Amino acid sequence: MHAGTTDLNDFSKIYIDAITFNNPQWIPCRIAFLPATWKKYGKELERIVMKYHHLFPDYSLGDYEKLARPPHPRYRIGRFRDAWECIWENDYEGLAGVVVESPLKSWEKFSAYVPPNPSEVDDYGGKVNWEERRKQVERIHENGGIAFGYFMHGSMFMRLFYLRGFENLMLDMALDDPRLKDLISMVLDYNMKLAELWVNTGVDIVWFGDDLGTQRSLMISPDMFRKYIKSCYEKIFGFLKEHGVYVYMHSDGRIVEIMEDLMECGVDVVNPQIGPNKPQELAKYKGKVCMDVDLDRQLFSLGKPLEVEEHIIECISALRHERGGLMIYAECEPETPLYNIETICATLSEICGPTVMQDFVQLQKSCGEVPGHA
Amino acid sequence: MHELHLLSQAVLEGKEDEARSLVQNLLAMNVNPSRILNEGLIKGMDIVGEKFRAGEYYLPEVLLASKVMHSAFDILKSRFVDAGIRTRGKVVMGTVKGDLHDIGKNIVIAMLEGAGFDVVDLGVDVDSRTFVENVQEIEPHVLGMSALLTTTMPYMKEVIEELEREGLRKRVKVIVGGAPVNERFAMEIGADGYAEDAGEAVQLVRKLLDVKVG
Repeated sequence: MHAGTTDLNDFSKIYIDAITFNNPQWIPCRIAFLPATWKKYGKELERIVMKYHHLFPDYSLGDYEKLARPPHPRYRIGRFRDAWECIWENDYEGLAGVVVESPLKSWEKFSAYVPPNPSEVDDYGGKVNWEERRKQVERIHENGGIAFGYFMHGSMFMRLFYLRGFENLMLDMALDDPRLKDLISMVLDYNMKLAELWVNTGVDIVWFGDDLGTQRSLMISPDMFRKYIKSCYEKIFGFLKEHGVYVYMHSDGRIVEIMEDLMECGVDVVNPQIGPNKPQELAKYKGKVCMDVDLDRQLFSLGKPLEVEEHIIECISALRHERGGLMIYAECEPETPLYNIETICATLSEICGPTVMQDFVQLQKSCGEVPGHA
Repeated sequence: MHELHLLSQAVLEGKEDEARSLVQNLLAMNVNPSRILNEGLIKGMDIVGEKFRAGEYYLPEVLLASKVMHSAFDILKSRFVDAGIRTRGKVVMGTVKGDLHDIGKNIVIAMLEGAGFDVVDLGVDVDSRTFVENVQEIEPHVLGMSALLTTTMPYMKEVIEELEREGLRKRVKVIVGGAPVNERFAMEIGADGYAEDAGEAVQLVRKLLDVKVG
């Protein structure tokens, strides 16, 4: 790995500067379109992207056709079985599906259950060539980029309910079922092996996504989070940090009550959603941890352009810090009107600059996963 | 009555065996089943709802209390059928067409049932025809629709339009919820109410049906 050295390209240097509060030249921003959004708007969206091309430096004319194609079964219509034997279903092309059948719904099957081996397959059951990933990381580094490893969205807490079913897991936690400890150990063990595999590739940053919150609160209490999940994060992130890898943590929903905990676990970049978390609440943590702020997607879909513009300005005003520590993420789902997408691009192009996520996307695409989800 | 208080506490604290045993004792003492339900089980769930809204309870505690409530209610059920006792109101719930997310909907159902409402769950990916047919057949007081995706929430409007076309709209209150939905959207599509979470949904249904707590 080489993040922090002087041979980084401009975008990479600014990204690392933002994480490390080292006076980045600009606030890195990423405007992301789900495959379904590309599918819906196609050329019309391309027109906007080309108009603000400095925010999308890797986009080439005509790319929209391939970007509209879901790269993975999770984003395609139909059912598929992942490597953990969870059955996913999706009936909206280009958005992420949901788990509809959980292999450990009954504890009876747990004793004979064998988790996947991350050195051989990814979470979706696809063959993984770690040597090829290592070479890709090398190539990214040779070009002055920073390389991202990633865990599948929903790797720890969510994997537990993918395996047990949501209501079962909630009851397991409420009743402190003794078998839960073994289930958590099994998932943690998988994640530790995966962390080691990523470290061995030489990546600079690892992306980790686990939805912990609802619109209004955490799904489980902060105490329960500390009891069951935090120690897992501490181990996974601690291992990555020991090896000099930055940790990027995404969670949907309200997480402001556990921001300190996430920082204690070693998270370098938190990706909180505005809406469930208010900018004024998150402002308490500016200067303490880098935040890649996920702008209000609900407003993107339902708001007027002026409201969208004011929202972006309000968030940045509330959360920017003189030394850095702020990034902006704007995810546009298919119901975001084109006039709001244009407003997002216009507003961010005045205040922010491009980011390096393209490297992340490159690596992910080659490995069959897509960041962000519906 | 002390036993009824203990029953509500057992629900609140998620003690299933204790709740079932208390219901049996109360029945043996010839306490009216309706009183056991309202002053014991529903009272307990009302406090659970309050604690959830106040941020003292989270989903595990809510779902456990709901499980205890249902388990204890199973003992009472036959008495209700025999006596022809009515619930606080009928609700039909479903996640709209194109959307397979059901976690939020299921939590709302658990809370509504806990609050004494009779809920018919239509499941996920429910089309407007199915909503309409169930409104015709079941004649619920409230129709609840859930959506997690911005792509599926516009379908709620189609359901409301279909209800209007069939002349059913005025016969049922329509409430909506889900992560991408907000009050403004609910008003725009002509719903009667929006709830941000399960606790609010219970309050909303009570308000719409003018149900008094306790």
